Amino acid sequence: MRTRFGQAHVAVGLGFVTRRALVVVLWSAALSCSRSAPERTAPKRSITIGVTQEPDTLLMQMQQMNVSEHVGRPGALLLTLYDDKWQLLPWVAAQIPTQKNGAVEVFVDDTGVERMRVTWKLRDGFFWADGAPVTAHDFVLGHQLALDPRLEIVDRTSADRVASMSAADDRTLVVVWKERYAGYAALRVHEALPRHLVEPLLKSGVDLKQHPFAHAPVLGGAFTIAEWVPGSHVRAVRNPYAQAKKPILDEITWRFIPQSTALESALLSGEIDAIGVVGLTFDQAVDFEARHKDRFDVHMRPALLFEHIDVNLAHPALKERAVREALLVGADRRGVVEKLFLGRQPVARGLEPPGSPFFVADLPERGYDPVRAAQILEEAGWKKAADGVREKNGVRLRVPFLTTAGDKTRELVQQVFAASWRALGVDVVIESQPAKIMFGDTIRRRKFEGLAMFAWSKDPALIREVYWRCDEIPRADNGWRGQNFPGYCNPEVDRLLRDLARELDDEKRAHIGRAVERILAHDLPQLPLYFRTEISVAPKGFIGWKPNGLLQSMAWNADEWAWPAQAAP
Amino acid sequence: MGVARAGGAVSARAFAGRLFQIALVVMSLSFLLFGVLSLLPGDPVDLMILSNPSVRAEDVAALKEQRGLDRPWPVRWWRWLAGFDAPRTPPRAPAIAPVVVELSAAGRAVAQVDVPLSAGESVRAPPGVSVASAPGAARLSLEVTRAGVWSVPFALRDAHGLEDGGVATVFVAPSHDGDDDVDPAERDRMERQRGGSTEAGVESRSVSVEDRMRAARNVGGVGVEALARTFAKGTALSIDESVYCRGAPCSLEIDRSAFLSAGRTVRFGTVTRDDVVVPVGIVVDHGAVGDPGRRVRGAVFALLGDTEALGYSHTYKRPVWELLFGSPIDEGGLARRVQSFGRVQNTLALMVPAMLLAIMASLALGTLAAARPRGVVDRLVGALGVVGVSLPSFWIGIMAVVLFAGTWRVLPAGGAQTPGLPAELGVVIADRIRHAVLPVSVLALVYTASWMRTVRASVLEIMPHPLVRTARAKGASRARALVHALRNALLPFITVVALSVPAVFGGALLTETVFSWPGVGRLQYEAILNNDSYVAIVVLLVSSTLVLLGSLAADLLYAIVDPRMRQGRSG
Repeated sequence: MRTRFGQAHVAVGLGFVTRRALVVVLWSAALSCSRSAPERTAPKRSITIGVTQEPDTLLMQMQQMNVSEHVGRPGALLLTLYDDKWQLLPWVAAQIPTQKNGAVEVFVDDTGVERMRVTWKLRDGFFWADGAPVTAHDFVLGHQLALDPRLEIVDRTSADRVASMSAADDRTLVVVWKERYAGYAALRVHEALPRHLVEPLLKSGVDLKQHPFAHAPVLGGAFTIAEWVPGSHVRAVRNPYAQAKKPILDEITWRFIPQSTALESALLSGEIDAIGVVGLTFDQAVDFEARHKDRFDVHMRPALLFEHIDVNLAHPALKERAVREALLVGADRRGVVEKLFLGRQPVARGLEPPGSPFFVADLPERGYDPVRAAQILEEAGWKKAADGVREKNGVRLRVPFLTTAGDKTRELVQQVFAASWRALGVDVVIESQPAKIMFGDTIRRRKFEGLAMFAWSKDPALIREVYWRCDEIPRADNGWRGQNFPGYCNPEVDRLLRDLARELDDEKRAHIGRAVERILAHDLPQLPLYFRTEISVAPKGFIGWKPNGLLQSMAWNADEWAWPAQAAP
Repeated sequence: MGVARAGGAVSARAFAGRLFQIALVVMSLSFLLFGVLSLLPGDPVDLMILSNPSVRAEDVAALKEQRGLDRPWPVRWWRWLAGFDAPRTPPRAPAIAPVVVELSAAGRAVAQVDVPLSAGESVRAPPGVSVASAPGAARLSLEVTRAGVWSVPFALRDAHGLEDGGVATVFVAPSHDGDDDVDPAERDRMERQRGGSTEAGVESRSVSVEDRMRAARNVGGVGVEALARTFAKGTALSIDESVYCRGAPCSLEIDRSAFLSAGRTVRFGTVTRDDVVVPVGIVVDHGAVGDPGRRVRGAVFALLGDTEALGYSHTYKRPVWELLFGSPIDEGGLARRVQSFGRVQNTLALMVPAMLLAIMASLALGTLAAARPRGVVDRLVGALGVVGVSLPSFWIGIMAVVLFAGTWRVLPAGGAQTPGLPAELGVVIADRIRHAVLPVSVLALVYTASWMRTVRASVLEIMPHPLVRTARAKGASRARALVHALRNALLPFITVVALSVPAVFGGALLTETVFSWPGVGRLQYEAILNNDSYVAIVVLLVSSTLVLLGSLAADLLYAIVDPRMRQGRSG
């Protein structure tokens, strides 16, 4: 009796309309079941990659997030690219211009100023996804856009160094640099945009970054963007006109799954096939590898991500090199690397990783040696006071130590180092701030008092002047410009960096770069910690998966990507 | 019908009051949030230039001014909420036909350039160039002392202070051999005579101009031939200073540069060569890229359907409206529209079914449990309730994903849809439902667990009431009596449900995160993390409006459920 009452109530409550909806629901569910079955058995022509972040824009000149580069460039349309061994390859360019092959000329213009002309020859076979050929004019338009002061373009370093850019013909791009500049062939130095599509948009006065083009641009590489559903996914489909770099797959889908546990379960359930480089943390990856080695390849690529501690050289104690040296010797970097990272993220002796042209192999290791560290401090006059904290001329050795809040690995490392420095007699004050505040304000305006631990990434062939030149120290009167956060100023380094930027000969460049590396490794405005790895998970045997640990799309060679069965020949 | 009318009549005033309350809350919340967010370091311009080594302080100032970031935050808030700017299109500097002059024997000439003006427009020119204004035009005069191609820059400013830059080109020909003493007008007249007929005369004159322009180019000198060529095409790309100084040492100094509203930069300066100082201007045309501060009306105008009024997301580089409600779709019909649902639709697709399910389930289970207190059903329901309330929803979610998506593989692990499905309505809806099953069930489970205890408690409270006893005494069955009891027990339940709306919204954040559901909760979280103030504020407004509407709905429901509330309360 009770049950009948319940049913009657529900039936009245649902009503006719709802019953019809129920029918639709059941029918659709049945349909979905019948659909999913054949999909599983069909040969795979696509790959779905999960990432934890969503791009900010797919208009590559405006991107501020790493993930945008990965997602927005499936099969790149760049003049040059780095391969997985960090060798620079000509990509859209027929060859890399050098002085030897005559494509780079240094000349003196009418006014007596030395300029540099770089002539790029473009390869045939690159087409925009609407069939129009990729021409030198497309690069000129990209440069024009990069100069627009009102577009949110983050990095104008190279655009500002270019005196003029023009297309001699469809296949020849002539770039005149204001002075000799060794970064003329650096990654992403010139970007192309489909002029036949973008120029009319610009002329009509639309706001390009809000225009649908910025959300689903027509690309000219192996793939192009079909759709971007915010919060859900970006779908890239094969560029039907691609000739030079013809893709094997039909589709690449990037799914945005912000939580890494959910990312993992999506992978295990077959919702996604792979996890991109913006996904698992190191410990998750190690754990995942242990459990699912049979189904997936976990890629851990040493990256140009340099984890370090910036030292504010205005600090009364840290301005002494001896104190910095003592801190470095007194920090068990190898122990951290062995215990936390299973030895898979190499300890950094200097600022350049093995594989960089500026890597110096014979830098002192400065292994963990608390006795030596204490001795250095003693010799420098820092004596232990009654409470165990060292002092010199009435100044206590008190060092605030800042890092990003919520980053478990960093917070752990911070604890380990703080403990060993306290044992040395350093009063370490642990601080942490949300990344937003730390990078947006504290670091940028040099408000950190002592140490700040974070990472940066770089181009393998360049040392960025903004990190080290005296005039790149952020100050109120220069509008907080520059990234020389330690406040390091060494005229010798300034001179070498200027030479480095202007030197075109690789061998001489390597020589200068190593000299800078030696000076910085001696002066220690930064305490080098370790080089991070870039982590991704690919299906077992997937072909062409070559993320290279640089600021370059992990899908740079997406044209080669294939499932094992497809690469028969 | 009768109920609805009665309900409406009763609460007309209360309804208006509620609306006023909503407006007030929206105003004060947005004000507070605006203030808090503007205390966070790093405005969008700061973040944008963070890694841009070549940015100059004046660029930063110009960008901040352009976006109104230089004003105090209460002003920014008011402008964001209710501001109104007339839509403004920046002026376009007219193309000026090149002017040809010839040096006198003394090596001097005065070049005059007329710039046509519309009403309210004025012209600024660099030092050394005099401006004489007349109605409808301004005349720029410049004394030239050297043959070559000269550029005369000017800025056209309209009544709103918006500017565009232009450059007039002056070809300065060397003085004519032999007839130095003949003034140009006289020589033109002579040439016309030489040409014969008047038509031919015009032609001969134009040839003569060409000749002189060629002569001017050949001289070089302090000239800007390359520049002139570029301007002839209408745009100038990355003009380098060196083009001004050809053939001999000279110096160029840029005094100031200005961003012009029309998408150009103009740089004013002087070239010095052989002690001759010549004003120059470089105009770099960036193409008329729309203004990021294009939004002309404050957020309240969104109520009138102005989708741009809500502002712009700096993180996602899209209008806030589009983020919330999906991008406008012109083709593909309903299926495409469902595929490109915005955050609000996604969250509603999660919340509404979950709440309906939870309401139905908790009413049924709560009543069943109350029908026989301490019976088997009651104990089971009680146990279920304790489990449901004590387990966090995200844990249930993760377990559900592990079981249904990981182990059994019957349901998707997350997301709201399968990317790349054909745009057919049946397929798309079925796919959406498959994706919604797990998150909706988890949300519904959590709220059923807490609500059914409310239902049970209030039914039990009513059961000993005389009305139930009377019903039973009159011979009503136990079930019939329960219906009476339930109806009376509904009031506290409605209150609980209405008050839970914000909690469901908040709970949806966890569920959205676990199931990677692209909903409002996640958007809000990311917006606050990224200092994306307009998004954060608008989402807060949407959610607080929803909550207030929830309580308004509860008021109306009271009136429907409880006859006592319908009568006499308005008077």
